[in-house]
Amino acid sequence: MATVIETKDLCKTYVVDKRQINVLKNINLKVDEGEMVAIMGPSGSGKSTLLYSISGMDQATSGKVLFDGEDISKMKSTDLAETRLDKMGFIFQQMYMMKNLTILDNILLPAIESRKGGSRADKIKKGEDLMRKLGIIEVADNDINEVSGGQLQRACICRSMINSPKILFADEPTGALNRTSSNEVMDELVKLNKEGTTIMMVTHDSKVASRCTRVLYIVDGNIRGEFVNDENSGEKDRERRLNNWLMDLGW
Amino acid sequence: MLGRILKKDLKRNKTMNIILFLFVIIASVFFASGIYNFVVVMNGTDYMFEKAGLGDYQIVTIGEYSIGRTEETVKAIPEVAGYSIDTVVYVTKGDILAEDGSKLEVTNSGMLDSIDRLGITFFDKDDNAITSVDEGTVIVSGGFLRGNSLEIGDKITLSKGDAKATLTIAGTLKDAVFGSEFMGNPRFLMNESDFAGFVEDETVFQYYCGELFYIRTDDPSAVSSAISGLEGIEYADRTASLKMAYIMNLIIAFVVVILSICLMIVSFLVLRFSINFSIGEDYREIGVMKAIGIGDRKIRNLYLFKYAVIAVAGSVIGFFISIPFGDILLDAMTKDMVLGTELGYVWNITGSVCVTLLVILFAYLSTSRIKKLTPVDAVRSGQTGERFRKKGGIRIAKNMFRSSWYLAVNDILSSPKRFVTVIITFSLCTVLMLMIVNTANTMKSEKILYLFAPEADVFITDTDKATSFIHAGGEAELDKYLDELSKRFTNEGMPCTSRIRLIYTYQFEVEGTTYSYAVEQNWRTKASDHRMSEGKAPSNPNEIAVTKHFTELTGAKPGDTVRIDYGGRTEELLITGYYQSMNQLGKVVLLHEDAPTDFSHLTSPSQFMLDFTDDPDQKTIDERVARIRELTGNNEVFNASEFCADCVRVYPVMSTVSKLLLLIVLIVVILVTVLMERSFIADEKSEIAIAKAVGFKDGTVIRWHVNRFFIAALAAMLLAVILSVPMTELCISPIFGMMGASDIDYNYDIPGCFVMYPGIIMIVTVITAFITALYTKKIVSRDTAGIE
Repeated sequence: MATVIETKDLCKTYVVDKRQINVLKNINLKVDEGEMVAIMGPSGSGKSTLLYSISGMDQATSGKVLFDGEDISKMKSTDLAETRLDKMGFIFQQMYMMKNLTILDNILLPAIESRKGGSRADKIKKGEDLMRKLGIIEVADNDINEVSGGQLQRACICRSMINSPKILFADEPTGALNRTSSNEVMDELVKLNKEGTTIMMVTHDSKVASRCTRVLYIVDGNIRGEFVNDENSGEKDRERRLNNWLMDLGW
Repeated sequence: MLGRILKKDLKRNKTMNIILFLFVIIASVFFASGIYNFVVVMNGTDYMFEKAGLGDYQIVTIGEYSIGRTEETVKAIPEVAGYSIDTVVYVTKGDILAEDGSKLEVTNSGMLDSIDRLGITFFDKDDNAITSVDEGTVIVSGGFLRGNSLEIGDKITLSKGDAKATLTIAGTLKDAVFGSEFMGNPRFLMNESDFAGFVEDETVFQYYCGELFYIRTDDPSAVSSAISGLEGIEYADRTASLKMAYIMNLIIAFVVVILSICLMIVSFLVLRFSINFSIGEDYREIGVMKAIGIGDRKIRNLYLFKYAVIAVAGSVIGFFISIPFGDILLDAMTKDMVLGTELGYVWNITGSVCVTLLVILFAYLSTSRIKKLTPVDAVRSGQTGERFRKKGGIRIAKNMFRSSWYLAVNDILSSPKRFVTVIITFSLCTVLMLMIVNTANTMKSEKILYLFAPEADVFITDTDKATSFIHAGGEAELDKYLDELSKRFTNEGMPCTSRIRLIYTYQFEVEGTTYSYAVEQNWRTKASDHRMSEGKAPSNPNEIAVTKHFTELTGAKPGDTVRIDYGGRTEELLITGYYQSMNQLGKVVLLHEDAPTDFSHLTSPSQFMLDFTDDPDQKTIDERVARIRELTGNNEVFNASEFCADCVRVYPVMSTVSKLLLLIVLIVVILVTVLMERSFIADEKSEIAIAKAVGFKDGTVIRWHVNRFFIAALAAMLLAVILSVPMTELCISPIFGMMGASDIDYNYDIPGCFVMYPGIIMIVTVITAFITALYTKKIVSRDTAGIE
């Protein structure tokens, strides 16, 4: 499997009130194509910072982030934006969307900004197909405040998938959802991963993490451990084993 | 407690609070100076006439035989409550020389005055009464100084008869009687010792000395009748007629008023917008406060307190800025008038207080929605989740716009209220400016030539020469001169004929009442060359055409007959039609060219007119005009459009005003664009961040924001251009009407007025929006994590 993401001695430091806070300390990791990696850790451990630094949304203080072999920390902001548009997808805990657009138009917006993906008609068809696949086609013409949180998060997934990205980044995608909605969203993400999309997500939820192929546990800016799920074992069994592993690490 | 919360709020919502604060200052400046200017202009000439002591009726006399006799008559009129007199010496071009010996321009005829023989008060540039003039110095009318590009400290030489004085210009004066743009006769105020040299000269005293009477009376008609038989009276009319001469100045003053009203409307539109906007920003806070159990009234009071503090602070600053701002506007536009109000800056204070109260009122009305907000709204970031009407945007599937254009169009259609403020603001200011531009263009256009003279190729103003024919038997001299004029220019390769238009004063009798009225007659031109607005032109000496003013004064209309006294010979004349004229402010009638007038009744010959007989094109005419200027050494040689501009006089001021207005409009456009775009950025921070997170480049986000202002400005400009035509005719025609022209054919300069001016505003809007939108670069994709 080819490596999609690789970090080398990735560090991130914030200065707050003249005090230096080292959020990420020499992180080295690799994510291969087709993987579904969960990043877990206590609050303030640097999970989200890691995700944003890897995805180029935040600038690393030092070290390298290689995406498809290219160092994104050295990219110009326009090239980085183009990479994010065409090759990366993002899902956030809060379902941020453009408030003046319908659900479908929100999904289509990155597509019409992108030069790839064929004609506008093709893009519209793709958007509708994605919505159909995620079971939200009936809310295509609704305003964003006319749908439930679960539907909105699935719309965000559609938006993140509209340009067929190589990798999907998700920052606690189920954090604002109830259990039922959370399961539905995870079902869709697992399905997308099975279809070949690499996914990297931050989560607090071991049930969610147990559905990923690999789990990284981060504490104080360091990767403390790595857990690889056995794809052949059952869902409950995977969750139990993951919980045990987490408890061993002090979760 | 309130103070602590307010302090925290002011720090936390810094951007929106600063924007609101700036809007309050702007509103206060515009409103306070607007009210002051409005009151001052509405007081208009009354304030100036009263301060100058003009009285109710004025008489202007010339010549030795009138001095003393007029005063005797005036003194004997029982209806006269009092009077004062100016003793003056009349001067014309040629009597006043610059230091280098060149002749200085003198509009119509000027007057030398002594500080000790003044019947009225003159004012300096700061509107203070002039009480003394040093020996060896002279204070001149502002228009004379500007027209001749002179400066204070320059020396001028005044001469009449054998008297001569070289004086240093010590300042400028404002003259209530002749200081209007329309009259424009300059005054030269000097020390008595310098003035005495002129009146002691026998020739000067005999022919060029005169008196100006300022009479206080409740019955001007009685004064008019009593002095009707006196000789040497150049002008006699009630003060109301002098007001008409200030119409041109007042057009400018009204521009200030309309501008002020526009600015007031603009300020309230943006104020209302920003208050609604900033309260909208606080819905989350309001929801949280409700969730922890704070009552509606307390929350509302908290916000009212905050807005009251901002309103009071902003209004106070705005008040202090409004004083110089209002003065600059007025001074720039009404240089030769003394405008003011007894209450002074109380009006500015009133304006600022109004702004404070209105801000609090807007805040009160806007906070009424607090009652409807629930704690859930805090969770939903202020979105109630209940909307019963879909947003009116456009769908991606139904257009082919690129994303930046799509988002811009969609935003405007989804939230039209936000952009209506921009559209109304921009179009209001632009309509006002276009009205003035249209008026200025019309004033220098040949289209209004018929209001001043029959059509001709060249107009030559030579007051000295023209007035030299004012004596019995001057007709033959005039004919000879006109022949010489044609011959001279024909010999120079410009074959032409020449003619002149003459103004007489005759007595008319209509239904038993006698009126002294100006009469227009063309010398070597037919009356039928004049454009009639109703009926037909006089076709024989027993017919006349009149203006609407004549009908208003006498009641006589087309079809009626009136009697004219040609000086011992009375004739009955049939009124054949109406015509329009701005000569004598429309107080004039048109006689047939063969009517038996004589030069002893001639009061003011007008310009000499040339008609080229080889039918040259306009370019050739313009070249010939320049050549004639060169040949005659006379700068007052004009083609038709220049002649119109010269007649209206106020054209250069109007032209300057339109440029000043463009500047003010641009300042308003820049302010509104900057403040609104900053408000939008503050409101849309999350959307900008998410757009960047999904891969939008900085350039796309900037284009999205700029395009919205481009579309709004384009809509505003289209609206302004469409409205400018009816608005010009609606607002400006009554002013022309007061001057005698009831039906104006406006000259709309399509490329200049409808393309250039709106184009400049559009470009400035786009540039301003672009520069302001650069701030979106500071919002980055990682801000999605910190939006909360």
